[in-house]
This record gives sequence, structure tokens and C-alpha cells, in this order.
Amino acid sequence: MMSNNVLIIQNLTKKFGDFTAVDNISLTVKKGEVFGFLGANGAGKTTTIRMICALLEPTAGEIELDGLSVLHQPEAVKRRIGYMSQKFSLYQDLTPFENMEFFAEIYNVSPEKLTEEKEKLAVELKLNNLNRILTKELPLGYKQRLALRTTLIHDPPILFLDEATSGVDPIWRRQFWDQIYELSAAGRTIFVTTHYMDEAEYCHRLSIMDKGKIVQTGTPAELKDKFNVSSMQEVFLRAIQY
Amino acid sequence: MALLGIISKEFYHIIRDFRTLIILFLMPLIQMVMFGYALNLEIPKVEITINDLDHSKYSRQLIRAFQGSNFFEIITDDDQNLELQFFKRKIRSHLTIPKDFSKRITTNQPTQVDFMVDASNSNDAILIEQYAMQILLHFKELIGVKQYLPVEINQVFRFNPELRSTYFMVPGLLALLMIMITTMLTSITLVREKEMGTMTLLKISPLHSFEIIIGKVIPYLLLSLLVATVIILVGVFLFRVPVRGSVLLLYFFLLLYCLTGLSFGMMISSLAKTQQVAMLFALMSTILPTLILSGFIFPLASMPKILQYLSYIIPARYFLIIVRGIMLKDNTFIELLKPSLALIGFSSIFIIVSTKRFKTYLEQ
Repeated sequence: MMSNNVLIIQNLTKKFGDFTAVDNISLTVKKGEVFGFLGANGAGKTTTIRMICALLEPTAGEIELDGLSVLHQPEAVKRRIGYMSQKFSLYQDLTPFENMEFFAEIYNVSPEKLTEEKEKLAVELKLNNLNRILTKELPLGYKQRLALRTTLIHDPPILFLDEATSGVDPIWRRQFWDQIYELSAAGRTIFVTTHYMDEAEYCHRLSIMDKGKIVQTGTPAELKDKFNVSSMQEVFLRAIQY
Repeated sequence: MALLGIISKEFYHIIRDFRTLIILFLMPLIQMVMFGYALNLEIPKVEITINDLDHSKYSRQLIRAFQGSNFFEIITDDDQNLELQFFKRKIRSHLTIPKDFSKRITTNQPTQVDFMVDASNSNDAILIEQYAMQILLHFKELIGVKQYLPVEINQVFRFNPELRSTYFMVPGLLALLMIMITTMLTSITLVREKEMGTMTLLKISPLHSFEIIIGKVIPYLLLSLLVATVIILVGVFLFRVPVRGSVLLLYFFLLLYCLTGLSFGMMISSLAKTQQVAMLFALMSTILPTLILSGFIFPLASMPKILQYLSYIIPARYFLIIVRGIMLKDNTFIELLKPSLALIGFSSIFIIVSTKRFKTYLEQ
């Protein structure tokens, strides 16, 4: 029905005045792939993600997401995106269920699906008071699980994780990545930005960005071979010619 | 529906913040009672000494007229030093009835009494003088003297025959409190999302900025109407101010007015960097300008031209015309069309600016 590529970026450029934040980048992400996006602060990662999510208009280039043009169908694109960031963005003074209800309303999710998702979360967290306690009363790990469930409530084909695991303990990060692999195995595409180089190892494929350009793309194994090093940390430093 | 989602979310924010909710209803109540009694422009009993040099039937009748009024309190003091009594604030007025008072009356000649008022507070002095004049006019009728004035003014105070200051206070307070409350309510709502990090969530969602703005305004609109109802009830039952016009019409205009305040607050919120800045700006831009430039306390017509022009951008100026018109005059919709168009204009501008501003915010 559609091509195997969920995300196609072609010759994407973004200029802010004289400054070129993103300089003619192209990349494709396949369905079900866990794709890593690495780069130092200011390398153009965030600008790229904003353009993909239809928050920012590109100066030049094309983005196609799940067969839709981001430039021409921004609203339809937004309905196909899940986004979870480091800053835990749920309403703390709402109950977990109210947060899910809010997302369900704004993404037009059916009441049946909502009930189903609520039950799944209750089972996952082993809590039966999710309609009574406030979100701020949950431990951080639980909040992250809630955030992930909520982000996926409208069943988006592509999930953006923007440094989503920053500040979380290693055990939860491990569990989180297990969940990521499950989602990917079920055919969902995951687009990850991270600062943790061990997380970069978990990605199926990744791109390294530097000064607005994509300097390397490949599987972690390929990149390590290419630079003849043993860790992604070294790959990263070599790639940006530190 | 997406709009419904925003509305119910904001509604939860409101009921979860119980403390703010209590303050929201208590504050106008306390301020109503405080303002309503403290800003009373009527003067309590005015102390007067009367020096009767005539000691006649007529002079005693005049004294009785002063005695019988609710306005003056006759001080009988042996200390005849008038200056000192004024100086010590023992009295605020003094009446001298001349020796030939009754003689001139009986012979149909014009006569004069001396009336002295402490004018260190000029507003009070004018009011005291007017009351004394009324008593004298009444006295003339009482003794059946022929009129010497070629033109007699027969005063009728329409809509507020007793000139009660609460009639003017309560509508004014409604205008002042409502603009202050509504602006404050929405002024933090967008900044809060930014500070809490939930703005990203709205940005990423397929919601239109217009939907977000409207969805945030609607729950606060209902809340403000509730607060307004409390103020009106206090006005009607505690201060006995009538609502002569249609209650439905009053609420229609209240809705417009609250919308103006809420959309103004929304605009502040879309411009401010932090909740504190937004809150402070909301307070400063509503209380003082409304108090001074709306025509609530100070008559606009007697202000310098520049301030008069400035008053056109004060929403309360228009709402005061409306609310006085409905509560005291039973105005109809057509008679209030002009000020209501102004309110609609304000709301539209504020909502358009917030939406535009919110959009650029999304692109940052």
C-alpha cells in the first residue's frame, strides 16, 4: 500500500537570517526501524525535528511522513506523530486517566480504545486508583510509562523520543528500551535523539549531525568498523572531528 | 471533540486549584463590603450650631426643620467662639438667623439667613449647602411665603430619587472587580503551560491555536459569570440596588464584558515570559486605569482632553454605561448597542492578537 520508508527527507534546509541551522540534509527512515539522531547541542537536531513535526517551515526541501507531505498536509501529519520529550509533559494536576482522556479528545480517539488503553495502563502499573490520584503523586518511572502510553494513544506510526530518558535511573532506562524494541517489532517507527552513547548502540541505524549537516549515517556496527573503534562514543567524536 | 478536550482539561485545572477558587469568590465579597461601605459618598450627620437672634415663632420653626432633617445634628454649645469650633472640627456648619427674620417674613420682604460651611473638603461642603437649601425651600412652603424667585426649579432626580451612592457604587464595583478578576484568571494560563513544559504537547498536537485560545476562555467565562452573580446578589440584597432592566440582557452584556477581560488576559499571557510578570501586568493594567478612567468615580467630562481620549480604550467605560443603563434605567438592547459594539471590538482584537502571537510562539 505504501513504501517501506516512513520518513523521507530530501535536501532539507533551514536558514535563520544568515545562519544556516540545517544545511541540505537528506535521509530515509524505514518502517519499524529504531533510528538514532545524534549531534552536539546546536548541531541542528532540534530544528530538524521541528520541521518534521510541522512546527517550523523549511527554507527549502521536502519532508514526507507516512506518505504525506509535511509542508502541504501539516495537520494530517501531526495526527500521525507521537512525541515524548525529556521534560515530562503531562498535566501534573490532572489524574493519569484525565491526561489520557485529554489526549484522546484532541486526537479523536474512540471511547472504546480509550477504555482499553486505560485498562492496559492500570495492569502495567498495578494500580487501581489512576482515576483518583494526581499525576504529580506518581513516581518518576510510573510517570514515564504513563507518558509513553498517552503519547501512543492515537496509535501514531512514528514516535519521536526527544532525549526522553534523560534523568531517569538505569533500570528504568533498560525497561524503557525493552518497550521501544517491542513497539518497533510491532511495526512502529521510533526516531530517537539522545545524549547517552550507550543508547546510540541500541539503535538499528543512526545519523550523526554536525554544524547543520549529516556527517555519517549507518548501523552502529558499520560506523564502528569504518572508524575502526570499539564504542559509539569514539565514533561520535571522530565523526564530528573533535 | 478537540475543543471539548481543552475545555474539560481547563475545568480540571480550575477545580484542582481549590485555594484560588476560594479566593476568587471571597475576594469580591470582601471588596464589595469594604468599598460599598467605605467609599460611601453620602455624609453622615453634619454638626451644626444655630444662632437664633430672632427668637420668634418662625425662627423656631426653621430650627425645627433643621432638627427634623436626618442630615443635620444641632449642637447646643455655650462656647460661642465659632472660629474655634470650626477649627477643632466640633462643627461643620453654622446658621445665623437675623433679628428681623420674622418681621420681614410677616411684611413680605425678602430676608436672609447666614449659612457657614467648613469647605476644607469641598465635595462635602457642596453637599451640605445643597441640603441646607432644600430645608430652606421646604421651610418657605411650610410657612406659605410667596415666591420671590421668578423661576422656581423643581428638582426631580430620575432613576435614583434619594441620590443613594450605593446605586452608583455597585454597578461601578461590578465593572471594576470583573475586569480585574477576568484578566487575572487567563493571564497566567498560557505562561503556565510554558513554564510547566506542557506547551510542547499542545504544539505537537493537531489543535489549532484558535481552538486552544477559545477552549481556554470558555471555562473561565462560566466561572466569571458565577463570580459576577455573587457580586450582583450582594448588591441587590445587601445594598438594595435594584435591577430594573432585563436580567437576561444584563447577563448577555456581562458575558461580553467578561469575554473582553478574559481575552485581554489571554493576550497578556501570550506576551509575558513568566507567571509573575503576567499577573502583575494584569493587575496594573486593570485596577488603576479602570478606577480613574472609566467614569466610575471621577467624571470623565471634567478631565483634560488627553485623558478623555485615553478613556476610550478602557472597557469598563462602556460596561458602566451598559450596567447603569440596565440596573437603574431599564435600557433595552438597542439603546445599548454602541457600547456593546465597543466591547465586541475589544474582544475580537485581543483574541486575534493572542492567536497570532500563540502561532509564532508555536514556531519558536
